[in-house]
Amino acid sequence: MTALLDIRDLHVTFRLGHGLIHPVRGVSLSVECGETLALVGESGCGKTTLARSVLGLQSIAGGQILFNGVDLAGLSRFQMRRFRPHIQCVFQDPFSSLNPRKRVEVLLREPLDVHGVGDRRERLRRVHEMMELVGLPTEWGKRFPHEFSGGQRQRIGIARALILRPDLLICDEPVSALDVSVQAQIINLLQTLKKDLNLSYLFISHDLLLVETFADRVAMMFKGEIVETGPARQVWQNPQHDFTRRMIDAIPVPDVTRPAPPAFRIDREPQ
Amino acid sequence: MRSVGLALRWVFGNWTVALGLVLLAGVILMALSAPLVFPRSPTAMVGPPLQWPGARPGLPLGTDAIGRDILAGIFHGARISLMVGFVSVSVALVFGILVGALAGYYGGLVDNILMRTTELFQTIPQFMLAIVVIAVLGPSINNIIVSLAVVSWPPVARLVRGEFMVQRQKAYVQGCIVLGMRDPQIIFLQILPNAMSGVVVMSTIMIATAILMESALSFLGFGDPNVLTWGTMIGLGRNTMRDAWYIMAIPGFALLLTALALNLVGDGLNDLLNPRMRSQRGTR
Amino acid sequence: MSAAPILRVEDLHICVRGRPQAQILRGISFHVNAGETLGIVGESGCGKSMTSLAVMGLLPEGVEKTSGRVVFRGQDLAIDDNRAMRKIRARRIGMVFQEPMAALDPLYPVGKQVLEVIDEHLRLPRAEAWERVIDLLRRVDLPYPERLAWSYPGKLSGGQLQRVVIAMALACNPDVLIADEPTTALDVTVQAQIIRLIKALQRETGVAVVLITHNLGLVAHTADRIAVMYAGHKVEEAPTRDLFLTPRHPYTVGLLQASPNPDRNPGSDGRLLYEIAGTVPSITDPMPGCRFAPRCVSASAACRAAVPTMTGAGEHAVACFHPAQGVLA
Repeated sequence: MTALLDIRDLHVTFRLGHGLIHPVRGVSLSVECGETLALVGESGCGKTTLARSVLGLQSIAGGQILFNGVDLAGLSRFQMRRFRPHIQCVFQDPFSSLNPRKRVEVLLREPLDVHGVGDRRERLRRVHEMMELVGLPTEWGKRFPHEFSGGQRQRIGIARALILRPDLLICDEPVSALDVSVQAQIINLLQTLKKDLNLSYLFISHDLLLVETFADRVAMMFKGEIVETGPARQVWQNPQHDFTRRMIDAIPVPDVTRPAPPAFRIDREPQ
Repeated sequence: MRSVGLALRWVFGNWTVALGLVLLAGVILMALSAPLVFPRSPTAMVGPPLQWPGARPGLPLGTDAIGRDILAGIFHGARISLMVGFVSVSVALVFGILVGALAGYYGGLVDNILMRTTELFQTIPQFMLAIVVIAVLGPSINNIIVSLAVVSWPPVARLVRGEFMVQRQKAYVQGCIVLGMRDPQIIFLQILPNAMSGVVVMSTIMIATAILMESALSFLGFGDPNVLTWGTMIGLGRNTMRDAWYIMAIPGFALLLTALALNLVGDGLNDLLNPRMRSQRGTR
Repeated sequence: MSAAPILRVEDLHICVRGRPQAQILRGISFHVNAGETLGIVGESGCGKSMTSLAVMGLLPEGVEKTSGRVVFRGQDLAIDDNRAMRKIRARRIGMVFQEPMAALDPLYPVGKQVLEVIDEHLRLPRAEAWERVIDLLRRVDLPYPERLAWSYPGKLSGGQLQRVVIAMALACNPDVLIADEPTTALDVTVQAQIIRLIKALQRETGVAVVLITHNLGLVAHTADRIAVMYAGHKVEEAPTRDLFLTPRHPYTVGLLQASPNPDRNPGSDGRLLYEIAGTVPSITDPMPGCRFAPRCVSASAACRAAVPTMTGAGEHAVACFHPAQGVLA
């Protein structure tokens, strides 16, 4: 396996008032071809900033972002456009991530328009093909986003991201705004699509319990640094870093045969 | 189609908006039909001077100090007033939207330069600025339009900038960037339609303001001497205000009704386009 | 632990004002005893938040109660009378919301806001009231309470704000604490701290807790009893252990299977997580039968014809014509 995405010593800094904050502090990680890498951390740990810099939405202060061996960080906006179709993204909020004034068909066709893929008929064919693939009836193409539920909108978001047939899909908390039963639908859909379309995922989440069920590897991020990486099951069963252990100790598994999470026990001293 | 029906039902459920629309339609009808109803120039003398309304058949609103038909003046004046309002506001909108969109989308230095310039315009009192522009360019109807546009674009720019700053943060804009869409396309085809509701409301009020300002300029004698507007008519009535106050009152009343109509429609649009109202109708 | 329920909700119906067919709650009943924790579980749109607002007499504009009652210590609460409810709120029933900022005013120091609650309901001398504020902030484990009391909400973290809200909710020693998704906006480690805090305060004061959440893991380790809601109905109620080990309503079974659990292996179809197909029906949907029937694997003609009522042995009740039998795999 070769690394599809190889991030090396990435630093991101923001100017905030007179000070400088440093949300990403020398992160190195790689996503192999065909792999799901889950990047797990708490709010404000820098995981979303990391994703934004891979997507070229955030300028970086240092390091390299190698995609198939090419350093994206060194590219101009114009040069970046050539790589756009290969790296796409699914956002967290299914409500704000779709332009409310565009019909589904238009939303899905836009990526093809932007990159001049095929003619009108070819584009429409691919839109319908994609809608079927993500489980949306094609006759819903004329509807507007507000006519759909959160889960259905997330399907639209996934279809829009995948219609250019990218190699890498960055999922930024794609299910954290959804209900448990719908969350399962979307996770299963992503798994099926990964197999069918030969995708690799960088899956950003705060939910270690969820990603443990489907991710190949997990990278734990804490205060801008990767503190632990490893196969998902191994990290869950045998956490090495103190932060990972603290997080696992606090996760309530919906199973009454297990003991309550240690962090729930009131006889224990607070940390 | 369903949303059109909803909008219609909503309009007639609110009598103030309905009244505004009816009044506005009346003014527009007057403006359109003026050359047909009064083919003669409104500045032509058609009868004895200072005829009170109703005093003479054929001159229902009477004549002014030099015997011009006041009703004809009102009809033709509506043409000028609406034209000045619409054209100056359109120019102001185009310019204001452009400045606001660029400032709000790019932020940083671009925002700083554009907004400091906008503030420069806003620090000068609107009416003074309009007078200065006319004093420099000369009093013609085109220059009045230019001067009104010059004084009314800054609030548009500020409004659009604010709206763009909000929309810019939304995930759908980030999504468009990730897709590789170019900036002009994102600004004008993606964000602008979502930023327009406030501008639409503002523009109706702006038209009313522009019409009032044009009348004020004409009243003070900064108007185009070759064109008869409501403001000019009010201004000319000043000398005979004690004996023939109707010469001032009639165009004044027309002005009042037009401004009222535009404000009512603006209020209605505000309610209709207000996001909170929309979510109550279930369309978020 | 007394046997008489401290708070009882009976057959509560709530609909959109003027549209009796648009029902948000379709007959909700539950009770909570002193010192007990009742978990109310359901997904968005099930009506769990509307239930908590109704109990607090905080029903939003455009929504009205059509029937049912809320009984507190054997007394009917006039939940549609805002003035009468002000005395009950905070004094007898405390409430914690998902968004701590919704309960706090950004323009006043947090200590002042806790003080305001005390002033409104208890007549205490100034110094004594302020002492109580500091004591409350200390009890919710906030560091340096004397200094923190003068901080503005914007200066505190989400977990600290939620602690302040809990301090406000407990300021007048209420008998019931209603916590509506109190930890949903928080990180998992902070969630654990808040849960532990609520449990500790409950042990100390004997307050009854109604914990409303979508998170099954949370109620598994905190609640004594659990009520499951779906589309405005209560579909199942049982002691926590029974609900998790022998769930009877197909919706409860589905929810449990859809929740990620590291001990469960992928299903035989290769799917990693169990899905409940379809979506929640709209509140206006005129459905004669069980509202879960369109998504249910064991639905029959009877399910589509009539709404099942709650039946059951002992404390485990279910509203289903074809309840699941046996232990969840």
